[in-house]
Amino acid sequence: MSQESEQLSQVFNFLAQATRYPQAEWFNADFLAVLHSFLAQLEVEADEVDLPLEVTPQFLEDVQVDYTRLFINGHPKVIAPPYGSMYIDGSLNDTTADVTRKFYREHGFDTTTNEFPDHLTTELEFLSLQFKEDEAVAHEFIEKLFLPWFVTFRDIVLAEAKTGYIQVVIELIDFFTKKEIEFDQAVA
Amino acid sequence: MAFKVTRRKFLQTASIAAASVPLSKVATAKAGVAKSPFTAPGSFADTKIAVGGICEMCFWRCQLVGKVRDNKLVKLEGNPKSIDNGQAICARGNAGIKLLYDPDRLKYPMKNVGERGNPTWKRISWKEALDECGEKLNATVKAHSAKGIAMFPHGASAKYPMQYFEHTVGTPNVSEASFFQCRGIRDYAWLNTIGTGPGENVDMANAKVIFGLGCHFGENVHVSHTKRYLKGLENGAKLVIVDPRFSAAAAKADIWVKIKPGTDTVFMLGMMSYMVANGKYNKDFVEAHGIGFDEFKDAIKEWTPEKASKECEVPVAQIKEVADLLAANAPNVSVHPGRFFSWHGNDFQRGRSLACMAGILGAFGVPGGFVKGKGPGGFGKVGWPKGHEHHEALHRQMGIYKQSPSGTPTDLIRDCAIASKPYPIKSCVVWGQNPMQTIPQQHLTIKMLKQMDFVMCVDVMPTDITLYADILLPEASYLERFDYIKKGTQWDFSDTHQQFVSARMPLVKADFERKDQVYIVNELAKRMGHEKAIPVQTIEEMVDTQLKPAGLSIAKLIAEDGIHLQPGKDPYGVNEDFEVQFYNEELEDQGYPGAPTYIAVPEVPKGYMRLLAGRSPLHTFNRTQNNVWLNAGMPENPVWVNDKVAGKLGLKSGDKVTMVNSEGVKSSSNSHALVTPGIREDCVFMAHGFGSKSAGMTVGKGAGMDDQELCSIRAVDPETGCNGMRNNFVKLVKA
Ligand code: SF4
Repeated sequence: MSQESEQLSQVFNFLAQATRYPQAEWFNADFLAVLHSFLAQLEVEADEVDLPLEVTPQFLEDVQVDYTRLFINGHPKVIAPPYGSMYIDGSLNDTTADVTRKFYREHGFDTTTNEFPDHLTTELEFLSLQFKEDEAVAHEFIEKLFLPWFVTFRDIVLAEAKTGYIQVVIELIDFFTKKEIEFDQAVA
Repeated sequence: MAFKVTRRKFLQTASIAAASVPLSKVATAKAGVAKSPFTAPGSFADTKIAVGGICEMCFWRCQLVGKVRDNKLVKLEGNPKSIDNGQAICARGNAGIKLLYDPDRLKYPMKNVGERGNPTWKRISWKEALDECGEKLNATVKAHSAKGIAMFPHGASAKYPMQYFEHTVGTPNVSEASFFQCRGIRDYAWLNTIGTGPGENVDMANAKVIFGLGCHFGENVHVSHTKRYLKGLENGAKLVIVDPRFSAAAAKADIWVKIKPGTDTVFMLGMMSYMVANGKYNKDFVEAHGIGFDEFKDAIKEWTPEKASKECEVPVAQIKEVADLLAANAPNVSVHPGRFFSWHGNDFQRGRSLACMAGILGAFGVPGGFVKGKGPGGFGKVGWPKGHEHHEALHRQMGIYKQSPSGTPTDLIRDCAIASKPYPIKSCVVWGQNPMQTIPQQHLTIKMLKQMDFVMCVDVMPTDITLYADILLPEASYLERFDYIKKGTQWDFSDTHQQFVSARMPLVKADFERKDQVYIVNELAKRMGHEKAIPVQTIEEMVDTQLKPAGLSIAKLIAEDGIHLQPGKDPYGVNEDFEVQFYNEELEDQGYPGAPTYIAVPEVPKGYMRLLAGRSPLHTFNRTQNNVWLNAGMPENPVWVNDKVAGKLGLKSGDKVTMVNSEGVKSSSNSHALVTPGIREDCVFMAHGFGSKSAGMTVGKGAGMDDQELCSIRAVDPETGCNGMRNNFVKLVKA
C-alpha cells in the first residue's frame, strides 16, 4: 500500500469518526486538537473556521443539538438525513441502500451494525478500509455511489448548519472526495 | 473555508506522517463496516419469508408475512394460512413498509432543550432518558402522590405500560382515546343491554338484511369485516344505510335513509314503536329473553313514525319501509353496532336503541345476527400487580358518568390538571396516542401540557403531541416487535368451524435505537422503586407466558408458519339465561333513562353547517398521514358539500377551501371541496386525521384539514363521560 493510500485511509477513518453523534467520550480536547492540527496541515487559516479550542459542555450540547436537528429528528423537521437513498430515491433504505450494500459485498465487505449501508459514516468507513485494499475501487465508489448524493447533502448542510464544527467536517469530506478535476480547479 | 494546499500535495507531504498518528488515535468507535466473505450479488432467491406479522396500520390486526431480503422488509402480504384476512391485506397494510422506513420516524431517545410546543431536540442515551423520566415521575409522585400523573395510551404496545401506571404506580388518570373518543360508549350501551360489549360481531356474511346506522363500510376497511359484508351482499342480503351522506355503503344500499344528523335515536325509536305497536317483532325471543319489555314499550310508544319523522326528517313511509324489511327478515338481521360512536353527546342512548332493535328482532345467536365466534381459550395472563397507592377516579369522586369505560373521562383529567382542582396533575405520559388530534378543544390540551412539570412521549412518529414532550422515546413499530396475541375463528360462520392463534412477531429487527414497551417500562419501574413487581423480563417472555397454558409457544407458532389452527365450535345459539335488557332498572337507579331515550342535540346555527367526520379507506386517521404511498393515494381530505349550498357559495369541486367554526376558530390548513347532491344541506363531511401541524411529519404536515381543530364546543355523553364530536358548526371559506 502506498503512503498516499495509507494517508487517505486514516483521513477517511477520522472523517467517519467526526460524522458520528458527538459524545463526551470522544468529542473531547484531544479530538479537537487533532482537528485543529489537521486543518493547519491543510493550511486553513484559523480565523476562517468557527471552531473553539476547548470542548465546553455548552459547545458539546450545541453540536449535539445541531447534529440532532440536521441528521436525526428536528423541529420543525429533520434537515438533511445523512443517507444516500434519501437524495437519490427520495426515501430511506431504498434502492440506493441495496446497491451500496451490494458494492460492499462485491468487494469483500459488509456492514456490522444495524445502520443502513448508505449512511454517511458507513460510507466513509468503507472508504477508509477500501483505500487500504484497492485505491481504484475506493475512487470508483466515490464517483458512482458517494458523490451523486453527497453534493446535494453537502449544500443543504452547509446552508443550514448552525455550528462551525459540522460545517468544517462537511467541507473536509468534500475536500477529500472531490473529483480530481474539480479539485484541481477548486484549489487553483 | 479555503484550503491552500492541494489534496495531492497534502497526501504527499512527509509531514502528514506525523499527523496521521493522532488521526487514527482519536477515531475510536466500533467499526460499522468489516471484511466479509464475498457473497454473490443478491437475487430474489435470497428472499426469506418471515412469519408471524400482525398488522397494526389499523386496529383490526390482520395476519401478515413479510418478504425479507438482507434484513430489509421488501413486501408485506397476508399470511396464506390465515382463516381471518387470508392472503388479503388492505392498502394501508401494504404501506406498512413505508412506515417502517419513514425517514421522519423517531430513531433515538431525545431530550427537549427548548420549550414545550417549540422543541429543540438533543439526542441522548437510553440511560440518560430513562434516568430523567424516572427522576421526574418520582418527583411528581413524591409531591402529589400517584394521582399527580396522567396517562394517555393507545394501541397494543400501550397495554403493558398502561397497566403499570394504573395498577402498580396507582394513578386513576388514564384515558384511552379508543374508549373516550371512540367506541367506549357503544361498548357500555350494549353491556347494559346484553351483558357484553358487541365488538363488530355481526354475522353479515349470512344475513338477510344488513342494517348500518352511520357505518362507513368500504370507507372503513377492515379486511375480514369487509369480507363478511361483501359476502352478505353477494348472498343477496338487503342493505339499509342510515347516513346524512351518500357514503360508499349508501351507494350499494337498497334503502338509503338520509337522516338529519343527531336524530338517529329518534329514527330507531320510531321504527321500534311502530314494530311493537303492530306486533312486528319476535315475540318468542322477547318472551324468552327480554327483560323490562313492557316498560320499554311504554317508554317508546310516544315516538310514532309520524312524530319521529318530524324530528329526524325521514319520511314516515321510509321509517315504516325499513321497519317492515327488518321485521320480515327477522331474526336473520345484522344490526351493526358501529364502532366510532362519539358523535353528539347523546350516543349511549343510540347504542341502547341499536341493541334493543336487535333484541326485538331476536337477532342474537342466529345466522346473520349478533354472533360471537367461539375462539380458542386457555391463555395465560401477564399483569402488573396492584401497588400500595389507590386513588378513586375523578368521575367516581364526583358521582358522575356512572357508565364510564375503564379509566377516567378525558375532559375530567384535563380540567383537573388545568385548575389543579381537586388536585394537581403534574406529569404526563403519552404512549402511542396523539391527544392533539383525538381530544376536542386543542387549546385546553395545550394548556394542560404547559402546566405539567414533566411530559414524556413514546411513539414511532413525531406526531403533533410529541412537540410537547420533554423526553421523547422511539418505540419499535409493530413490524419490529413481539406482542399482541391474535386469536379467533374463521370469518364466515357457514364454513367449517376452525380456531386460530397467532402472536405478533418481528418481521425485521428494530433499526436505530428503537425499543419495545417491555424494555422501556421495566427500566422505568426499576427507577421508580417497582423492580420487584416486574412481571416479565422481556417481551418474548410476555408472549410465551400468555401462550404456554394453551400449549403453544413462539417457537411452535414459527414452526406452524405463524398461525396455529385447531378445530372450532358452532357459534350459533344463545344460552337459556341470555337476557336483553329492554328496560334497565340499574340505569334508572343511576339516574339515567331505563329505556332508550332521545336527547335532542343543538340545532345548526343559521349560516353554518354541522361538521361530520369519518373514515377513508387509505388512511387510519392521523396514524398514516406521513406514509408516502398513502399520501400519494389520498393526499388530503375533500370536504363534501351539498351542491345547492356550494352553488350559493360559488364553489365547485376541486376549489380550495378552509373552514371557520361558529366560535371563530379557523382551520390552520385547507383542503378542496367535493360538491355533491349526496349530502344534506345542513352538514359537511370530511375524513378525520388530516392536517397535521408537526413539521416533523414532512409528508403529512398541512395535508388536508384537521376536523379536531374545529371541535371547540364540548359535548359529553352524560352516562359515559365520552366526547361527542359532531356538535360543531362551520362555514366554508374559499382558500
Ligand atoms: S385492515 Fe388493513 S390496515 Fe387494518 S389490520 Fe388489516 S391490513 Fe392492516
